[in-house]
Amino acid sequence: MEPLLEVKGLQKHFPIHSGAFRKVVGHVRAVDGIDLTVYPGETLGIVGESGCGKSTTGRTILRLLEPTGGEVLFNGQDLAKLKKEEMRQVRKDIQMVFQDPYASLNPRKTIKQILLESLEVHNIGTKQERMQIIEEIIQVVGLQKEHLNRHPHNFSGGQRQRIGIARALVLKPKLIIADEPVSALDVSIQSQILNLLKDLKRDFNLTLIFISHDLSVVKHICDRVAVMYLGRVVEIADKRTLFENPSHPYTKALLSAVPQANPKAKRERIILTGDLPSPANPPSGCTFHPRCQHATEECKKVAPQLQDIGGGQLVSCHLYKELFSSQH
Amino acid sequence: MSDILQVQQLRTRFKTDQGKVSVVDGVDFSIRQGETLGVVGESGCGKSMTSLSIMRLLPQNGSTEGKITFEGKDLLSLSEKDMQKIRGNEIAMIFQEPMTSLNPLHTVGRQIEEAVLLHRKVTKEEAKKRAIDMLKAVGMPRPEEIYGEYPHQLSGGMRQRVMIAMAMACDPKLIIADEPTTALDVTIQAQILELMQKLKEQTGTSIMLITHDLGVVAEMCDRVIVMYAGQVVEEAEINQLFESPKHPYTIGLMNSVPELDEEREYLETIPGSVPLAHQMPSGCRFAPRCSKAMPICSEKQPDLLDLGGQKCRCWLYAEVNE
Repeated sequence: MEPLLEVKGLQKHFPIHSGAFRKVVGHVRAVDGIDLTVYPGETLGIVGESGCGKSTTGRTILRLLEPTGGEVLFNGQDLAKLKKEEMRQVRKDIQMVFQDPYASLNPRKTIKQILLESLEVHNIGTKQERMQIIEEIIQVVGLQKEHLNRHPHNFSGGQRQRIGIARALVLKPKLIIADEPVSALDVSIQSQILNLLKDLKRDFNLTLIFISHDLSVVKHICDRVAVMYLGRVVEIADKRTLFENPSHPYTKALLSAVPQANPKAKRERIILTGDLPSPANPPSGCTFHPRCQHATEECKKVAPQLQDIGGGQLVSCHLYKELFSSQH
Repeated sequence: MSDILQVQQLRTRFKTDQGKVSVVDGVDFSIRQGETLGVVGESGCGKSMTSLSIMRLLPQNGSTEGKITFEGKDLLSLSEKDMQKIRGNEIAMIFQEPMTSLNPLHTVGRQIEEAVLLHRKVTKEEAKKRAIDMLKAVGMPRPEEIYGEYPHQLSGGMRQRVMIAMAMACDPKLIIADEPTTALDVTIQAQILELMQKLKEQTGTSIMLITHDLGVVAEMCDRVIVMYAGQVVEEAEINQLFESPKHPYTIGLMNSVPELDEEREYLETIPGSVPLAHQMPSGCRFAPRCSKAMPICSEKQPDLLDLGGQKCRCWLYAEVNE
């Protein structure tokens, strides 16, 4: 299958300024050379802890942040090289759903204005057709036509996230990037939104990049999952392989750290020591080595590359062979 | 084992523009010596207000009725001076946001010492030693240096360790931890939960753990109360709760969370959302969202029924009891 989106060596470095003349004294390597492929109709999850660069990745793909290097191929075009106006056209096909449904809707506008805006910007349909589209979409996300004349403050968190999803859907995009869309919601509301996303995916044949820190949620909604650590992808595999057979030591630790709602489950937990190193000054070699219980001399010096270990599972670890064989 | 804390018919109200609004409405529970009691519920269920009521730290417009007995003392009738002797000394609190609850202008060491100097007859040197010992106990690297550092120099996980060190500094008999790991990443959360478990085993402190995360509850708690809209709707031993949850809200909550070790196409949902504090339904507060609701549910409030160790506020179990 032809991929819908191919990200090659994507980088986003933020300069660190210091002193009276705001001289650049270093860079935060938020995203440091990542490769991702997204196929039509699939949901790719990007997981990782805070500061791993997962949100920056999403924003850089859409060029809400300008990439420092690398290519973003969408439908054969390199988005990183497009002019502003051309990029604006592409945004019709790639939409975003944000984490905070309180901050991402303009409080002064009615829901109608919010939803019409993107249709107007992209000159789609006549006035009547636009109204028809938004009346349809608002019902698709589980709200009613009557809600269109209200303002965001009239809605609960879950309803606002439905509006955020409706806004992303009105343009019938080919790809939606959802950045922690359920993290701000209570669990009983979270499940409503997750089910809605699953329905939409099926009904509209959506392709989704789902960015989240919550592994259980990612497992529930995604087809393939990429695990990020310190600006890099350390493992990528289809969901079942990743959760049943994690091969990178970080993925293993991450999975074992999730508390299970079962008081009788006794699992072996891998407790990582220390904190995430600063992306402004990442460790040498494999960036995970200071926290890795298996680290060798090689890991301290040489950065591993993502390599295919079979079955579409890619792992960036020097030791995957040893660790992998000890598992079977 | 004896109860260290007893809360009876706790009612917490706020004066607002909409009139008096009650956010905690007739809550009863107790915490035994050395036990970890989980308090579970979603935002707005009153779990944090319950803990602030116990500590008597409510905002100005809040008022409390009922009885809170801590080691034989009625906390609500104590003078503010006597309450200060308990707060931070016998009952300590750990908050969710370590950045906003630590003072950015004071060193870590000074903040840990503060409680020790206030509650114990110690010299400055002894207090400093205690602070450094506490930093060691919570697993901080280079405790002597961190003693002199400021909160902004530490990561989120380290700050939460400092909060725990502060709370433990006076050997409290009860620690109230309000979402202590919610702001942390999972791998750091695992570190902090392990630390809390270890400290509890060493000191025998009771813990009241407030959280929305059922996974954290399953891992940490001995007993659980589930709160909804300002009331306790279920109370059970940990295994009872997960093996046979009784209240439709508890069941809904459990089924709406995706789990790592199971595969489900759709998650169960609880339709609608939590009622607002000034628009509480007159019958059972969960009735408008409940799939099992009967006519009586919207007419009369159910009591918290004792079902043999497990308690549940639901009309479904009313006949069984009568």
